[in-house]
This record gives sequence, structure tokens and C-alpha cells, in this order.
Amino acid sequence: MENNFYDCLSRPIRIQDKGVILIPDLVGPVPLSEQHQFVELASSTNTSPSIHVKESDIEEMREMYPGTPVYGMWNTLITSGLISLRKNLQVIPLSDDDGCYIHCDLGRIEFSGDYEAGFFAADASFNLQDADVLHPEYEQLVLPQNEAKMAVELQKERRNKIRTAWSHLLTVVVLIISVSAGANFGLNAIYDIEHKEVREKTVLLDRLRDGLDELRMTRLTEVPSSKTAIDKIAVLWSVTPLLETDGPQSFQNRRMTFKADGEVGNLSDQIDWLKVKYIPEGGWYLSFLVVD
Amino acid sequence: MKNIFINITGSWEKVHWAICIVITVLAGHFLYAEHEGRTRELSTINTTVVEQDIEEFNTMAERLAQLEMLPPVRMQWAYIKAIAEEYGVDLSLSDSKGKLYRGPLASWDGEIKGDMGAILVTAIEMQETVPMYLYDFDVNQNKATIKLAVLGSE
Repeated sequence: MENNFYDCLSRPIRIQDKGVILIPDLVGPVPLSEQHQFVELASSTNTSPSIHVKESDIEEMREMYPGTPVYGMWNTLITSGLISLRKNLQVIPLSDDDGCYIHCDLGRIEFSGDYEAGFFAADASFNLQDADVLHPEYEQLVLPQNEAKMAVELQKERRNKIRTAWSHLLTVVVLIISVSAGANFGLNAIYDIEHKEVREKTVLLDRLRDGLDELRMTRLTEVPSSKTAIDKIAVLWSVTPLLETDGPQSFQNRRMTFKADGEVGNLSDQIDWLKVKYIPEGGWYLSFLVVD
Repeated sequence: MKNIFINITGSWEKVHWAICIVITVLAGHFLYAEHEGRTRELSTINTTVVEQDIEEFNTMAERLAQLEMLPPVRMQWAYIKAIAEEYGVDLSLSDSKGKLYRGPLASWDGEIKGDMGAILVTAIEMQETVPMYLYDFDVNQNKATIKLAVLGSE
């Protein structure tokens, strides 16, 4: 490693067995008037603000050393863990009074910049005497995940990322739909067996019911008999030939009622199943249960 | 597996996750609704009851098949007509054919009219000869009427 770390900037060097170029970068906010010249190199983290690099610097290096990846200096030093977050001011000198610095506060990197003639434009209270001088060695350096990229390349990368995200989403959606359709199909197949069995039984039952109905139309299941009632009427008629029905009577009713003239007297003494009621105008109501 | 998951979802933003969750919920809902439909259909048909009914119907069918097939109702009518003539009672066929009896068999409605004694004997004789239900009964001045329905096959 050269005595001065600045000497290894903007020219090919080897880090982790890889030929790379380190260029100056800017940690922290980019001045408003220069924002259009910078591209983002690394997003902000909980220990560091975002890091930017001048697009023209990348372009220049690409022209001078085509095919060699370009990395930011501070980005590389931070990734390598060479910046102490506990130290307020760390510098990389270019000469005795000139160089670049990085400022940390409360365990977080705040910003980087250049100092000239020992004067720190960003904060006049910074003092070279209080600064820690960084002496990074090649073997200590670790390359950051992302190399410096032009705005167009970043845009293309972002577009690719968006396209990849949507295509992955499409794959996942297709997968979810296929899995649910497959599961539904499988469950259908399983339940179909059960359904088929039930359907077959229901059809058999319907057929049996039809057959049974047909049998019922030609077979007598219950022999109708009104013999008991007729016998009772015959008994009544034998003792009172002038028997009359009291209103409409039917063998299908529970009880039948007749009227008899008064001469027969109270028959309930002779016939135990008979219910007798005297009619004041003359005669008797005789009633009995059709079925015992 | 974890790597595959990270590879797939690494580049996702909120909108991708939202779509993925919505699709998963919809797919889950579809599966649940379909499955519920299937189980509901099965639960409405109680297989045990169906099997019991089949057994019961089979037994009834066997029992009925052993019974003799009823002659046509026209022939049954011929029998009771002969009985009515024998006992000297009037037998008439009602216009309301098959209105009195409500059952699976074919029936003809009619009525017998005559002297009380003859009517009672005829009714018993007829019921012993052919299946027949007796309905309305009316007697006055020793003259009786019984409405009846003679059963038979079509």
C-alpha cells in the first residue's frame, strides 16, 4: 500500500484478488446544486446515510479502464469495517493540510467531505489535530456488494428488478391457483366416491318405493271389515225394529247413533256396549263404538 | 427452501405481497366454499336412514309380493252384484267412482238399498266375499241404505 491512500484512487488496484478501481464518493447529503451529477451508490442504513458518487467519475474510469469495476472509496472503507463509528473525525490526508474526512456522531456516520489547508468548510469546529488518520491496507479491504453504476444502468437494473418481481409474483399466483384447483379436484374425486354410493342407494330406494307403490295398487294389505258394527246394529234392530239413524252415520266414524221409540225402555241394562240417552220428547238415543 | 423463498420474494414490494395475500385468501375461500358444498350435500342425505328404508321397503315388498293379486274391480263388482241379487237388495253404482275410498287400490263406489235385515246380511256377505269398505249408513222405517266402495286392481 502506498503511503498515501489517495494514491490508489482512480487507478486499477487488486482487492480480494479482483482488479477494481476506487473513486472518491460522498457520504451524506449531496449539495442541491450538484444533485444531478451524482448517482446513488449505497442506500442509507442505521449506521450510515446514503452514499453517492459522481457519474462523470464513473464514466471517466470506464473510458480509461474499460471492463474494470468501479467502487466508491468511503463505501469500500465502511464495508471493510475500517471506519470507527465512535471517532468524531477520521481523515485520509492528501498532503499535510489537505485531504478528505468522514464525520461520525453518536455512533452513526454523518457525512464526508474534503478539507483544504486544514480548514473544514462543513464545520469550522473540526480540527486536524483532533482527527484520526486512516491508514487502510489492501488486505484489510472488502468490496461492497454493489459497484458504482451509471444512472442509466441503475434505471435498467431497477426495471429488471420490477419485471422480476412481477414475474415471480405471477409464478406464485399460478402456483397458488394450481394448488387450490388441484386440492379441489382431489377432494372432489374423494367425495365423488361417497356421493356415488349415496346416489346409488337413493336410486335403489326410489325404485323400491315405485315397486312398492305398484304392489300396493294390486295387493290388499288390510282386509276391511265392519262385521262388529253390523252385528251391533243387528242386535239393536232385533230389540227395536223401528230403529232410525240419528242424522248422517258412517261405518268410518268412531261412534254410531240411532234413535229408538220410547217403548223399548232403557236398553243399557241388557246391552253393556250400548250408551243410552233418554229423549224428553219421547224415545231414546242409542249409541255405540263402531270398533271395540 | 428458505433461499428459494428469499429469491422469489426478495424483490417484492408491498403491492406484490398484497396481491399474493389477496389471491391466497380468495383461493382459500374458494376451496372452503367448495368443500362446504360437498359436505353439506352429503350431510343432507343420511345414509343410515336410506339403508334402513331400503331394508324396510324390501321386507314390505316381499310381504306384498306374497299376497294374492286382487282381481280387477270390475270383476269384484260382478260378485257383489250377484250377492245383492241373491238377497233381493238394490245395488247401484254411484257416479262418484273412486271418491269414497282414498288409497292405492282401484275402487268403485255404490250403495245397497233394501229391507234392514237383508241389507245387514248382504253387507256382511259382500265384505266376506270381496274387499269392500262400508261408509254412510241410513235406516228409516225399516229401509236401510249403505254406501260402499269395492276394491280391486285396475
